[in-house]
Amino acid sequence: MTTRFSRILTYLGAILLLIFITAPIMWLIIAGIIPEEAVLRFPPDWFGLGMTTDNYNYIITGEIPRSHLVSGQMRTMISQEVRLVPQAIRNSLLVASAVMIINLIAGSLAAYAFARLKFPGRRPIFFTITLSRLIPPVALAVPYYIIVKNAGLVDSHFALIAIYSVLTLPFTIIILTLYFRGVPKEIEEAAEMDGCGPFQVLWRVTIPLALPSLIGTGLFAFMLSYSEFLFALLITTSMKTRTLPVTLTGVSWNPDVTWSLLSSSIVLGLIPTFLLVFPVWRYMVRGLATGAFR
Amino acid sequence: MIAGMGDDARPLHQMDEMNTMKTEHTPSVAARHAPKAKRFSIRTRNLRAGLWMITPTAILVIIFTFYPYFYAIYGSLQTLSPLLPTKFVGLLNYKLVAESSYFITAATNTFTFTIIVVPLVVLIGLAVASLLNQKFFGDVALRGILLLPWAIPTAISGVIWKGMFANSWGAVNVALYSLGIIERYVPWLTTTGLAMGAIAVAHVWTQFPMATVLLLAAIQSIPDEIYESAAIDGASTWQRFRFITLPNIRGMLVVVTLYSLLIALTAYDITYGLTGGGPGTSTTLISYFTWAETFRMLNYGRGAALAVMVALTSLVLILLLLRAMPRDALLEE
Amino acid sequence: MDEKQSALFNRQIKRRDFLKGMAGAGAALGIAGLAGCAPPAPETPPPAEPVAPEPKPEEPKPPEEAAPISLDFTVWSYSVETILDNIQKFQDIYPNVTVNLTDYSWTAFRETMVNRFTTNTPTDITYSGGDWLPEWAKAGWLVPLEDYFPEAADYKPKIVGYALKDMTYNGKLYGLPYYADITSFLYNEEVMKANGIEKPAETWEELEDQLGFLKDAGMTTPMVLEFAQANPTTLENFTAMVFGRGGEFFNENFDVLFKDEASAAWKQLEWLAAQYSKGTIDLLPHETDVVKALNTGQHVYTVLYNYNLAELNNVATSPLAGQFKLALMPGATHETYGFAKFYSLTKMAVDRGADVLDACWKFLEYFGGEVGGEYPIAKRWAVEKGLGFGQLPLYDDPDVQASFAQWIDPMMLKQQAGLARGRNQTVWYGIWSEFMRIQLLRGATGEISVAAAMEEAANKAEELKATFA
Repeated sequence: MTTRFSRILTYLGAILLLIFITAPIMWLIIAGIIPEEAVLRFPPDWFGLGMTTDNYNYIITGEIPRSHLVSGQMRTMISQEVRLVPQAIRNSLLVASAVMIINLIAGSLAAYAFARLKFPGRRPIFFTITLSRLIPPVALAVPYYIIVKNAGLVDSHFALIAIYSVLTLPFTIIILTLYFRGVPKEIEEAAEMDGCGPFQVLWRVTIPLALPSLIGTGLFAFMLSYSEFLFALLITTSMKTRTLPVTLTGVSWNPDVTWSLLSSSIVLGLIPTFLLVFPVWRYMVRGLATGAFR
Repeated sequence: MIAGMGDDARPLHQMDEMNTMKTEHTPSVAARHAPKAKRFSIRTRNLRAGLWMITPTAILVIIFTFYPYFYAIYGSLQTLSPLLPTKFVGLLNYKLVAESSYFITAATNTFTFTIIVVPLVVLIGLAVASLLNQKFFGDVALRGILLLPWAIPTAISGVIWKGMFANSWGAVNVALYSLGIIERYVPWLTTTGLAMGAIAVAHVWTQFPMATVLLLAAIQSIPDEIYESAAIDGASTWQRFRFITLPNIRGMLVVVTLYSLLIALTAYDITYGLTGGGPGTSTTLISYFTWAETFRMLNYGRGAALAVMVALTSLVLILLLLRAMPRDALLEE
Repeated sequence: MDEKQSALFNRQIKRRDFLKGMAGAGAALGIAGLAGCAPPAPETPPPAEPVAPEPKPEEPKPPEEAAPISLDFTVWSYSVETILDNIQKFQDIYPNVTVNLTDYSWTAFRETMVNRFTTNTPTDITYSGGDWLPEWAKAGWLVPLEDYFPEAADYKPKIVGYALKDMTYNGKLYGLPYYADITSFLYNEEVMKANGIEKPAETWEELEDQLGFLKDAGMTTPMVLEFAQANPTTLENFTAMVFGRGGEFFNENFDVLFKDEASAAWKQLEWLAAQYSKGTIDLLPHETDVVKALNTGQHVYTVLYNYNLAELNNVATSPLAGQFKLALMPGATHETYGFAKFYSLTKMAVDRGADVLDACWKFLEYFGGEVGGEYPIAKRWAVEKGLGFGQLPLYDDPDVQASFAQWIDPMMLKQQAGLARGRNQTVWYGIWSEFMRIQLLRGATGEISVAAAMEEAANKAEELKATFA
């Protein structure tokens, strides 16, 4: 009786959760393939005017949607900025991958030092690094911009990669420190007895054992970098370097953008991160559960 | 920064070198060393290695942390504007910020927003984590789907939720109208209480997946035997949750609360896309206020003073929470 | 670099001596082909390059003579593909000039540009607006076109008054128009008539009655406005409404004009607050929200940048295209706010030397001026995107007329544009407008009283005036 009741409760909760999570995304997908007239109709009727892939076609190939061709001279009144979405996705992927790699290298080195090695200033350095994220990003905007400007790196991916590394490393280090401490000490000690130095122990023992967690943490840094908005807005100014959140937000403020075109451009932009969701789950959550909190 | 990047390569390179060296040695050779000398060499080697290992991170953090902190604190004591001569004014900026009614509005809004969203994020996160800890049909798929909102840039989430809440054509109104629940569309985004509700829902939507993930990881790390023996003792589901789960995830609950708190205190991209701070100023949050004061009113000094105030507030909150956190959670065994 | 600078130096000396000679000989004689060079006073920075009597853009310079020059051009993100295409056309004519385009979001444009200027990020030509010009010119970031290209002054009589006002600071012309438009009073004629109203309101009092009537007839919010604290356009919309009553915020001396209850701004904010509390208006964050809301047929009125009417009546995307019309701004005088967004020249470009300056002028003229008797770029914006224009000759262009007729009544537009005027703006106007907008929002939504909002805004203006005196 109670078990059946709790079963029902479980499924009810699961369904509610599913609706809450997916409703906005479903609406995005629907809005991208129905005409703008259908979006705005009152009384509502989303599916009365058929469906079309013209929006996606325009973003990828630049072919003006058929609905825009009927009205003669003003047919180009369409938000052209959505055409920049594919380039923006490439930029975001590039920046996020680089940040991930830096996080894995610098992060695992530092985390290993904090987890296993005794050296002077270990605690204060740890807390300085982890608490360096305290100041709100808005306050960092001007000084960061000045640093980047003085280094001659405005409008470069390099500057963005460095900033994101700073913003993501503290979290990576906290998590990896926890993981590395979960690696059985005996194995590492055995390697040390075999004459391995700390770098070798890290490379040959700790990293292979903590690999799933490493991948998870790296992907986490990837996701944060793929999504960051404020610094990207300040630093990547040209179309060649601009990242996805900046391009998409820009599109959303365009006077001639339609909701259906905006929706389809967002859907396209989200595909790469959505593909990464399952590996993140697999490695990070499992890694967290099995590695750090025993 | 360039130096920081360059140095990245060095420990790696060293590491590779040692690696190759190692493969040439045979373990038995190393094992012949006397234990005492060895312990000493390990200690000095650890010291040097430890410093090397944190160097890349430390360089990046030093460049991008100390200078900005210095700039913020120093700038907050000046009249700093591209349009006016720079002048030392002491604590005047702090006084002017604290006295302005707009600051009080923004601070109150941020406080209200935080009070609403942080408990929601933590409680929903906990509930969903408990749910996903069970086995049911479709559980694996649901876990993947759970992370979708988190994978969407926050600034874009604001745009997406505008499509949900838009007064005249949003999906929420369309759904409620089609189901016959409302007869007229509800102006969600331009009614004072509802607008705060709308940004809270959007914020919780983006933030609860991460809380869930962290809490679920903590729950799954509790050994099954404890639950099994409790079940033998006849403990109910609630009792097991109350007396086994909760105490065991206390550390993670603190981490999650802390994280949610910091995110909520500095949130702004959702509001920006969703309500533009309105209606009136009722959803204007402190981060947007800082941006406006700094860049739009071109008052870098006052903006810096605001930033320092927010940072100090966060610091106090963090210290309070750290006191509640189990001591051994991070550095010590 | 050094060579370039010394070359420039020599040329300047020659130029200056030459001008002195001219002044002595009597420049007013208007020697053929040099008439345009006479105006600059001796102290003004000398024109850098002997000026060609007529721009001849169709003739590409022989490649061996022209050193490659690259220009940095900043815009806000609107129709970037069209801009790139325009740039390509320009580069086809001048193969030695490369234009690097940088675009920023409109909502963050001013602060991003200020960042760029204060950090000396290379910028040669930028979009600008009348509310920022005094600030950017006073800071020395932008320079008057007339000081470097005397022939720029010839454009003055060909530009509509409100646009010219926005592009002028301390009596000098700082730009050529990208587009110039008005803020106008728009309505959905069909929905209005279907609800029993024959004619759009002519005064704010009449509009109040109509809104109440429509509300009673079951319309949730008969009027929608783009009015949000994070959006700079809010103040432009309010300005247009105040101008409809014949008001202003400041006089020519920048004394505050809205301190008493009888002032237009005070009355208009009271009007907004009253409508808001009755629930007859809805304040949306952005013009795209207003356009979409109007297209659902649940609202009748708005006050918006005029180009939005082109979008509202755009058959491709608007379900209710064709139903939207322009009416004169309600109020005693029916005046409205007119403005220009324009291409302006930076000090940094001037510092780069004569060749760059020369390329800049070619660019400015191609984009904002007349080329072979046409205004190619301004016309393109008007025809393809429905943007207004500041160049008076375009009013008579048949292509522009045909395109505009698709979405607006040309006679109404001419009448309303004739009643449009520019705003009095000064160096601290940009800062004040940020503050003012907040007070407007608080006053309109009843967070504070109208009197308190007006008082705070007046105090801020006086404080800023004193600070910048």
